[in-house]
Amino acid sequence: MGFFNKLKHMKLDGQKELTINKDVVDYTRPKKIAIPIKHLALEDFTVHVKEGDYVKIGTKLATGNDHIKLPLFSSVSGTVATTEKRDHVSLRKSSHIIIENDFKDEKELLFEPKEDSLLFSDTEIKDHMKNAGILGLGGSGTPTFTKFRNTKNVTSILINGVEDEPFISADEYNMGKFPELLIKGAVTLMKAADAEECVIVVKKSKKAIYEEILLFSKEYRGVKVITVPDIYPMGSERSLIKRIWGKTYKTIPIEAGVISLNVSTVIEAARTFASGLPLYERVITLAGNGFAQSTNVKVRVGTILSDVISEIGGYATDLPKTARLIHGGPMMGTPIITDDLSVTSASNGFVCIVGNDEPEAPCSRCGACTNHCPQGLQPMQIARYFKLKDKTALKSLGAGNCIECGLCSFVCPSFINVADSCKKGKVLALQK
Amino acid sequence: MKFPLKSAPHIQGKTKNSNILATVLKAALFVAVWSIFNRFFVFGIETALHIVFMIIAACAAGTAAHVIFYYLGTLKNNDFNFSKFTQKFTTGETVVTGLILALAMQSTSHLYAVVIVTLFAEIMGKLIFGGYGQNIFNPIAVGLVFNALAFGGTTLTVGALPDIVSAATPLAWLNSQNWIINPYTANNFILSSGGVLSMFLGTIPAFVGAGAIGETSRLALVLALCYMCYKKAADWTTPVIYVGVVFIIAAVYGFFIGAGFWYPVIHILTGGVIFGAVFLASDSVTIPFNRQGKAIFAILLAMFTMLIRFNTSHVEGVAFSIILMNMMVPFIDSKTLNITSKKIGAKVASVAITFAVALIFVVGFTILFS
Repeated sequence: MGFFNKLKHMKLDGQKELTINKDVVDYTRPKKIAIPIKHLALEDFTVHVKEGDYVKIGTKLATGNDHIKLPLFSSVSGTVATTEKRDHVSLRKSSHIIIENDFKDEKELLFEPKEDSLLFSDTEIKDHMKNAGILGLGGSGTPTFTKFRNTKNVTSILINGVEDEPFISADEYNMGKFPELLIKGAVTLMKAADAEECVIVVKKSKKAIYEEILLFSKEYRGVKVITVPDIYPMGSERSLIKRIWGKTYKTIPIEAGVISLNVSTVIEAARTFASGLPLYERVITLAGNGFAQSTNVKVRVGTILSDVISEIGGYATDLPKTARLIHGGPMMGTPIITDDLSVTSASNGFVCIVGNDEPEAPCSRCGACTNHCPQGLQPMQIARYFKLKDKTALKSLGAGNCIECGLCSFVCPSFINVADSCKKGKVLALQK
Repeated sequence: MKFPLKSAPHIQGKTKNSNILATVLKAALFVAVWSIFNRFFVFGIETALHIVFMIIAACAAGTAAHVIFYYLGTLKNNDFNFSKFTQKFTTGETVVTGLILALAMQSTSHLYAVVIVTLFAEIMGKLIFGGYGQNIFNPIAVGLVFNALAFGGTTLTVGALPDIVSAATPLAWLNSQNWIINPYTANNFILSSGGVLSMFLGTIPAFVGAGAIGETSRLALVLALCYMCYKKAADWTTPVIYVGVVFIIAAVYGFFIGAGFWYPVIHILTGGVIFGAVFLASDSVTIPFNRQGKAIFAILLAMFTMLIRFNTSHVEGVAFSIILMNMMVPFIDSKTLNITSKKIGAKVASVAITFAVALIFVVGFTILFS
């Protein structure tokens, strides 16, 4: 009976044609870079370099002091100028290592690369991933090797190429440009995890990319390419795993026997195996009507964002005061208050748009948030009980299942920021 | 460069409250213009002008109610803000209730009655609850009930109306018979109103004359509902189920008293059933928000409408039943299942049981006690 429980689907205006068909601007020769000595919440790093040291691409600058021991690398060759406190994309100040570029691009290999990465043994693959500090590039920034530490009950690898944020097209560019690397990386990681199958997910509307990947995937056994409908939200690993295998889990996908990776992560891993270098440059999307032009830019990790923006022509001439600069896509991305910060390896793009600043109107009980919520929650109820700080009510409403997709705010005709209250309500509901 | 700090999402969908209100306003204006032209061609310029004046008076009264309330609200902190003040009027929030209320009133109403009824509806139905979105009762239904109780007997003689006014309106006549009419009278009734098609189109003077302005043409109302659904300003569920259940209850009752197909058709095409379905039962503020709740709401609404029609001689049966059902909305919302709940059997069963109860109750009660 579709009458009673037909969830309404929302197709967002992707705006990817702004960037995807344009040539990628090459900005890989910045004068200086700033590598943040910070990863996610961790700021406790042992720094291996000091002022005046000469570093090459791939020189280890610092190592994390926790069980992950995440290494940080230089992405240019040159001299370490100084260490200073700068703004970080997480909105907090943190110390950055500033390196002056000498434009020689000398390289320091981390390990002996092999042309065919399948020749590595599985322990070697895991070690190389750890030593090269490969991170999840979809925006989470989780060190990838942590997902491969305990692969006993892993049966499948999910490679997520859905990228359903509007404007951002960095993943799509990578998929379209390097399908061979993608398949190579997928097969290598399958070997490392001893998985039986690997599923690459792309959107239905990206037909050309789907067919190209399919062509390359036929050489290997166990690699599957599937398409998902072009609706938002689709790229959440939770809903993808439920859709493909019908499995659910509590905290991380490994509980369901699945390792979930982003396409760009897999491509960068494959590149690392073939080159012996860590991730030192990546493609990011700069899009939105706040910029003079929207385009994909190839940058070094640690490049100052304001330099990249002036390279593509700066901001639009009549940029109003209400324009927002967003790290990530406009649906789930975090706002940043200044452009004087460095591009991290987990940044997939920056969007500058004029936000919706219309005042909130009272709820007209239209039910749009409830009818669109992909998790089947009642966002307006959650928002109401969040205001009352009622933990039991939030728990019984299932606020902990919120995936923070932001669709409830998007569809609200009264401009109530329901999503913000839901996110905070989720935090309350997950407390004991 | 510095940027403001605002939480995600940073883009917004195209549906806006002001757009929804504008769509409803356009639909109501369409019905109004249709009715005005209809009256103009049938009765002449004076009647049409009186309707125009009624609509203007209602809109002005609604706006005045908002102005007074906004001004009184700012007295406490002395924070009168002119831009906020003007913003309220650009959304159309202040005139939409007045316009629809004017459409729902008899075309022979006095202008002072229109003004008082609109002020009452805006203030007691909407503003004292905190304005649009906060009201429990549908302000239009509140106004209509107030009108029926306070100004039910007063009529005005304008232009070419007198001989129609002297006769009771079709609905009042039907009400006085408690809708129990034999096939012969019914046939005469339909013939005097020009046949079923004329009733639907609203082209016959005797039938059009004294009814509510907006109820002139059912075709215009159906077109207005289609427009609102197409623009996503209204959900088709409640209006369609409401009219459908009214039809079924009338058909079953008609079967028992030996009436034919014409009987349920008269029920739908006279009185405020379609008008109430289009403009009152589709207002998202005062109806349940999930499909199950909407279906139950519409069925019970039809039940009350038919109970009032069969067993009382009140004229505003639709408005009374809307108000009765508005009171039950929080209860329905708390007891119905969410849209993603997989218990479809429970959802279907609840709606089916409600329907069976409503049907048996209305038909049984009326046959036993009349």
